[in-house]
Amino acid sequence: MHLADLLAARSTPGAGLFLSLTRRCPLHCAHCSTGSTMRSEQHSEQPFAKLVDSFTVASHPEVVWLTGGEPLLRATLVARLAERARGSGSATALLSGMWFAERGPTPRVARALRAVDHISASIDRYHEAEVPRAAVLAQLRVLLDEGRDVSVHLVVHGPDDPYLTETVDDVRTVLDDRCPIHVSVIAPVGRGRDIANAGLLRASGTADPCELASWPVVAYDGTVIACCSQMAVDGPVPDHLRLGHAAVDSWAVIRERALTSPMVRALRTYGPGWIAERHGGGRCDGYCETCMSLSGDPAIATRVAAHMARPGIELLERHAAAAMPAATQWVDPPFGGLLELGRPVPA
Amino acid sequence: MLDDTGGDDFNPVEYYIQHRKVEDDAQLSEDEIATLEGMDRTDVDDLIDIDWRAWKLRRRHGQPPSTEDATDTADTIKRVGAVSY
Repeated sequence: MHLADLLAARSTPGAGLFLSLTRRCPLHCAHCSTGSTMRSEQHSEQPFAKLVDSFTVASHPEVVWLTGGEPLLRATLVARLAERARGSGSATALLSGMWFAERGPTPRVARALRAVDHISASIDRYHEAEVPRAAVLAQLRVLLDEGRDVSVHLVVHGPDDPYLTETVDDVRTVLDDRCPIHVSVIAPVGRGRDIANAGLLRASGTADPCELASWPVVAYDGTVIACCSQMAVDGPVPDHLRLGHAAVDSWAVIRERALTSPMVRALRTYGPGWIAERHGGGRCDGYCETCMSLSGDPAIATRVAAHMARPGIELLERHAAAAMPAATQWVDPPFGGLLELGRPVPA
Repeated sequence: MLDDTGGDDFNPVEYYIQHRKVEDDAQLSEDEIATLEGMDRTDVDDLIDIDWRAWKLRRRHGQPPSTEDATDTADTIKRVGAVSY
């Protein structure tokens, strides 16, 4: 499955599911948004397996995105989840730091790589300090030659970062323009807090729909969250973003909650700053910080539920859905074309 | 004369059309017009803000960005996700 096709579903509520299989990672990247080490949290495999086992042909996410930490530390679980998901009709993608690139994948990692439908490799100056770029590109070339869908996840300090141009040129040359490249900016979270140039978006009191409350995320301990904000994943998870737990709730239940929760619908329609301004809670400077504060007063959820039950809200929700990014709009405009590299030309 | 200010004779459809910040013509279906007619000014203002957000996104990706959009891009990132996708 090509990266652009995966991203085409990214704005559709409930079309995908993130599984944070482990926070552990053998690398020590200075910008790591999850602050991962090999001593980081890792919980039972059971909740992840149980949730994927609940997929049916009639009810499954289009895309299951396996992430971490380093998801391939649980290579056997990756293979099992991907094979089960495929049986119900879900495609599986995986984001890896490719720590094995120099020596090549172990048999278990190789099986996991064969099981998923898309492999995305992180490349940036901080990963390069741990894993040579040439080794990662060599592994991606092998996968491309096998007919596999791959992509590069490139993070930089900004559009003027000289590393960006040099690396994009290298990836395009070495991989013959067959590999899409997702360019994003280093975020000021986790270990990236000390080195990121970018600031965080501020909350506004006007309607500013949230883009991240579309695909549920299963956090490291199995808690299912309505959005993929790192703040929510790090916890404590605010009540209004908690959709359930993978050990006890089926995909059908999780999806239904993600689509119908008044607070989550309000976030997708108006954003957290609007909710805080209109229904209380106090607005913080940060967009996600404001959202985290909304569970402080249970009356907010009651007032929001009443608001979202009013006639005419459906029109606002529909217009808010139209304000969500299309596939190539998930990255800054100069880089949209890089997402399309290697995409088969329609017959 | 229609009142587009939110008074007793407030006309939501007129208000919406006149106050949209979007630089294209409003495309409203009959159902949407019927829904709009039942809205108060606060809801219509919210709808205008949502449309403006959609327009800014499309403009950033379809046309050279304005100064305001360039500032948006340089100073902030959209959100911080557990993954960037």
